[in-house]
Amino acid sequence: MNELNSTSSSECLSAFMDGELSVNESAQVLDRLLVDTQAKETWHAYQVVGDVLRSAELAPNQSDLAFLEKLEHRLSQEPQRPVVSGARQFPVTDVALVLPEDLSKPVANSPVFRWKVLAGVACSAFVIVVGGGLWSQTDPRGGGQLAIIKPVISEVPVVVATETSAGPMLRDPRLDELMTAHRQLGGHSALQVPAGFLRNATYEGAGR
Amino acid sequence: MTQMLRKWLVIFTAFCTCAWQPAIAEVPLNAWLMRVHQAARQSVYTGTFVVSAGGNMASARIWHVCDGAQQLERVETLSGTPRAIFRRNDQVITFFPQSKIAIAEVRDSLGLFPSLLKSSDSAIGDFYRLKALGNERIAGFDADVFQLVPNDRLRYGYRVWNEKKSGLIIQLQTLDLDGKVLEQAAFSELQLDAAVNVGKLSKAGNTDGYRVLRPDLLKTTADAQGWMLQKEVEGFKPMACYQRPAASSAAGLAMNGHSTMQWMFSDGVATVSLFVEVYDPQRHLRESLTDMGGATHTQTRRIDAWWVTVVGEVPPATLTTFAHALERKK
Repeated sequence: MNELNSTSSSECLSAFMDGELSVNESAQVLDRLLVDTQAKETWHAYQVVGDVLRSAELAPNQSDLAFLEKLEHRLSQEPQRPVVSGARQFPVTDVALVLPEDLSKPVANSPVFRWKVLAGVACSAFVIVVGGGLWSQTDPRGGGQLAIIKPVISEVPVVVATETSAGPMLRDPRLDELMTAHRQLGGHSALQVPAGFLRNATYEGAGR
Repeated sequence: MTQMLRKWLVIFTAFCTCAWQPAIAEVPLNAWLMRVHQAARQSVYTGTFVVSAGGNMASARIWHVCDGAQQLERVETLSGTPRAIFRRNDQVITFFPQSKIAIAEVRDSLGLFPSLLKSSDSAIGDFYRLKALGNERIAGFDADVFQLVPNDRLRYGYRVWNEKKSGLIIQLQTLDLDGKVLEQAAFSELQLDAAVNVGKLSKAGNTDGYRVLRPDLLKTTADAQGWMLQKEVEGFKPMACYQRPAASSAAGLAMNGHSTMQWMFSDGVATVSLFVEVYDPQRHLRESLTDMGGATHTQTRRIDAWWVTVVGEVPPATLTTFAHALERKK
């Protein structure tokens, strides 16, 4: 009978958790939870089962429980804080969640991938902003150094990579100038009119 | 008996080989060149010209008329930087509509032919032979196909399509030493004897609203500049020599503050330019042979305080020969 009572009590707790009880029935269950230790344990077990079903991360393991025990012990030894009259006193266990006592435990948002992505993007942005700033400060062409260093940069030919039938090659603008000069003056050919001239007129500068 | 049989077999094989090549007949080269030249002077046409070389392709719209002794031509490019080229005989003006700059120049080489052919030292026939390859249809026209075959490995070969009636070149291919096509220039669309308004075409040479630049070219000789070829490159004759002064800055022809000599050679078909400028260790990093795409190559070489760049539509070895033949007069 006791077993049956216990079973019906468990069913009531389960129904209460699912919000399936009437107001009167809910009040009865709450009353029982306040006095019956077993009911309280069942309630706790159901909550854990529910948490585990929702997410494995929420299931407490042995180290969690050990941590919690240690934490409660430490907290009990803390000096009593002054009570602010009129203000609501927060239960100390609320604060416990943010203490970084056990680093092996994953952070609360760890299973949520978008948080990791967001953190990665934020880190990259930081590196770009800070790194870019440092780079511009150390660039020898930057600001005041111009007066000391001879601006040789403009004299270095700009070489452009171009794809040819023989594979990629480096293209020098100076060489292009000479090519143009060769095409303009170098048409000493029996095939110059019309083919050679039209070829050069059409092709000059193409692909540049 | 076996010897006799072998002899007959050799004769028979030789006969068969000859019999298999009746289509490739040698054609008088000079007569063909004159016809090509006459066709270019006398034809009136409009069309679209397409050049493909080294993976690049460019096209242009062409208008060409003859007005008595005058040749008028307008080329409007359809790819790359917008530009229009106007030609009246050897006077060439290149218009750049975006920058409103016009470059006016005289191209002596355009007036050179047929004197090039008539002169006693012209020797195109010594270095090329012409073969007839039959007929083909190009851009809606029946064409005779010819091949200019080089006699040595110092120059490339050419395959030429002549419009049957006029002889106008409507397609030209440059072939490498193995006969592979290096580049091609052809009319993709052509209207022969098209009604082109001469007056309207003449106006295309109007430079109003343009800043006209004339390249600062000084006619000179290699000898006067202190240069010579220790050994002639077979078939290539010196054609002209120019000096571009240091201050020359006509669009695209700026010579980087240095005076540059351009010495040109031709074998009557292919042209080679030898450029000599002051050696600059910052720019002239290493001697190299470069494929510019298509048939064009360049070869650079340092000679003491000078930097030599050889450019031409010839095999790389020919450019190397030129680069090493050039020397400073003592």
